[in-house]
Amino acid sequence: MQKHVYASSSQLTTAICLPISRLLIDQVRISTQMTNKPSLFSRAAFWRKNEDASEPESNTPPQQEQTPARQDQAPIKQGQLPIEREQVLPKQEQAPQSSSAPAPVNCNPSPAQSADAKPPIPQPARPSAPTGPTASTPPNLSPSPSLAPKSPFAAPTAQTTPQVPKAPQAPQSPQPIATPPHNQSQAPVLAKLQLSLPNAKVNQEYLEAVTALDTNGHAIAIDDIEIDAACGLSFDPKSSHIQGLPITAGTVSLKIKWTNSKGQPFFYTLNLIVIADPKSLWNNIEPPASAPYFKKNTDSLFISEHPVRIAAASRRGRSHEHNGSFRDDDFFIHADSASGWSTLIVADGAGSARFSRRGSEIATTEFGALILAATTGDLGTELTNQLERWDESSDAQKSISAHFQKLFQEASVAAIKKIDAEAQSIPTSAKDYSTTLLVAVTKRLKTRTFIVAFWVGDGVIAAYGPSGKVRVMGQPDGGEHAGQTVFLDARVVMDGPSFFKRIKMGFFSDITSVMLMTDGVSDPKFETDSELSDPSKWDALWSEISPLLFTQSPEQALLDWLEFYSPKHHDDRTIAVLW
Amino acid sequence: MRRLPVYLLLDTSGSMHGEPIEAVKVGLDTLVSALRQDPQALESAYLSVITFDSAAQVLAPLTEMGAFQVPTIEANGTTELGAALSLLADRIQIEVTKSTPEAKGDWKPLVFLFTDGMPTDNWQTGLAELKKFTLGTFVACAAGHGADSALLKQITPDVVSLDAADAKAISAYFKWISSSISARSQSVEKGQKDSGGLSELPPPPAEVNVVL
Repeated sequence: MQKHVYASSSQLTTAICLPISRLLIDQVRISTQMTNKPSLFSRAAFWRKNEDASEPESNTPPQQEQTPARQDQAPIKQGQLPIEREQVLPKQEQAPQSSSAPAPVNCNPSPAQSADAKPPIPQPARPSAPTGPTASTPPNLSPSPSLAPKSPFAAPTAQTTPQVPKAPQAPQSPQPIATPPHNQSQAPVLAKLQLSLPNAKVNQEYLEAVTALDTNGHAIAIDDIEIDAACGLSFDPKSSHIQGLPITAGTVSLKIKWTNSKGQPFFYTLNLIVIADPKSLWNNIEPPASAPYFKKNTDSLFISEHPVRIAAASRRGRSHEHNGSFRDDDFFIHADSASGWSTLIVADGAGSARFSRRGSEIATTEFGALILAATTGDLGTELTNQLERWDESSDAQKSISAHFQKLFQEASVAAIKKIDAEAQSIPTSAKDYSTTLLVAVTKRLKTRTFIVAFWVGDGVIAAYGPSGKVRVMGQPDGGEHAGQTVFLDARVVMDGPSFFKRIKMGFFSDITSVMLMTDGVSDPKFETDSELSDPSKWDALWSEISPLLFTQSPEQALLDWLEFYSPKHHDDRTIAVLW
Repeated sequence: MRRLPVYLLLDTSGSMHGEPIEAVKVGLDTLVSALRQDPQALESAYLSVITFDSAAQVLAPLTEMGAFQVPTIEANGTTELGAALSLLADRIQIEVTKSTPEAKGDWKPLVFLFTDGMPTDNWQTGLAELKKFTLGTFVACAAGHGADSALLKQITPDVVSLDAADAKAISAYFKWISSSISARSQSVEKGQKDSGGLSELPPPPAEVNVVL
């Protein structure tokens, strides 16, 4: 058992030759691991008796050691190396016992003196447990760094040592009895530190300086920090930094080791939090197959009616995937080769309205059908004739304008009526079907593109082109404290002047593309409403989208693109593009 | 990027010492752990902890969930609720961003108050300062018979009570706060309206009684 202590007689002699006071102090040594260790004095006695012995043998531990030994069992579990238990030096309890043993060397204190000597040094406040600093208030050793302004602990100093029962009073700061070789053999003591480390994030480089203060506020130099290698982090003692790339979310236990100016080892355990990558936390749950108004999670369509090309894609957003609810967006696109008139519509059902997926479907379908009727066949031809006279007189323009105002009014009424009827059939409120609606009707004539837009809610309708130029065909509803927007309902239709403000016309040259999108796309791409009119933002968006349009399946390419990850933007996404 | 500010106002007076404050600590740990695993809370929710006993203090300023670390809490002293309300007003003034035409501001803050006793100061003054700000939802919890729901009703219309300030009830209250924050994180990401009261939060568990 005492294999490692006093490997040579000279060590023992050196130890014995220390001043009396230091020996007394050393009786209160770090001894959490002390169990069956003979005291210095008994060893000395032994040595004296066994001068010819090559190595001191272990004494059978006297009875008094048992109690503290048992109490020491618990602290051991808190991470102190068992081996070191053997290496700790004199036990206090032995002093009275061995008081009768005469000191073999001059500088050995007389045992009688040691027994009587009770230096009147007041014990500092410390936790109640008489043995082992680790026995002191486990809650104090909370894993999270203590940042609270009021320290709830009457914390022992970093040099705290355990009270050993029956020991004579001794000063709190022990002087090391051992010469350097014995330092390494001392068991580290658990002691509090003032230290905080910011949380780490999975797959993000972590590099943080570890600057710690003991409970007196003195900076300490850290010898080492034990970190499980599997977590991806390590400690560099030279720079006193923790660094690495954590790969798993959770808590990483850090065992911080340091020695004080007197060479005494201490440790402190701290939990470092590793935060998961939010991307990895998203679930993808199918909506209930049996729910009313079932809608597919994705939809896409490509129309090629030379020279018109239109592609549209619509995808359920991450937040609906996460809670297993439906896509609420919808779209309608059509190109009529005979008349040359095209229609693009996108709609965003209100998140809080339980049947808004049906509302967006009804609105897009109703508008689509009525617009088709008004822009194809004879009506379509008439419209085209008017358009050809656009530059000649304002009458043509007024006529076209009137045509579309009437059309959008009728379509709005038709859509609202259809939703009302649907609601009544449940019965429920029409508000359950609330939806936004963005409409563009367009025709290319010679070098120019005619576009008329109708805008209710958020999202955006834009005529883009050439590079560096964009015409936003209206403005989004909703204020600065948006979370609210406007939906297609009777109020919108009844408010005459403001209804007509929702309709905008233009006959533009050099249009590269007409784009409509719900706010699930426009919010991540244009952070604020004012960015919507920033041509450079549109240039950037076009450079992202245009390569997709010149693939085999532009609608599929757009659908895939709609999966892009943008923090905080997890709404359903729908885009319709004509180019 | 719009943040969802959440303020916890916790009574750390002497009467909380023992089981109640331990339950609060556990509740807070559990809440933080849960929100760290919620992708929408991680992105949107910012949390602050204010405690009040003989004075009010900010134990943790408004911090994003990813960086948030649970502060150490202990209980002793009186119950300066007014100081807490006043401090909350100060913190909202400093920490919560208002919207401008250039940039959208934060969502209206959620506030969850927890107290087990009667205020020992002039809470009306603190409340007056707080009234200058618009809150999303302010829930006050009266824990046990030492607390006064009627008094809390004067502070906010949304008051809940616990039969006792014990581990089970307090744990339930904190779980409910956690799911409320999750639900609000979700709805703000959908762009829904700022929260308007208890009705917009998930229904409270059995241990948490809604005071009508």
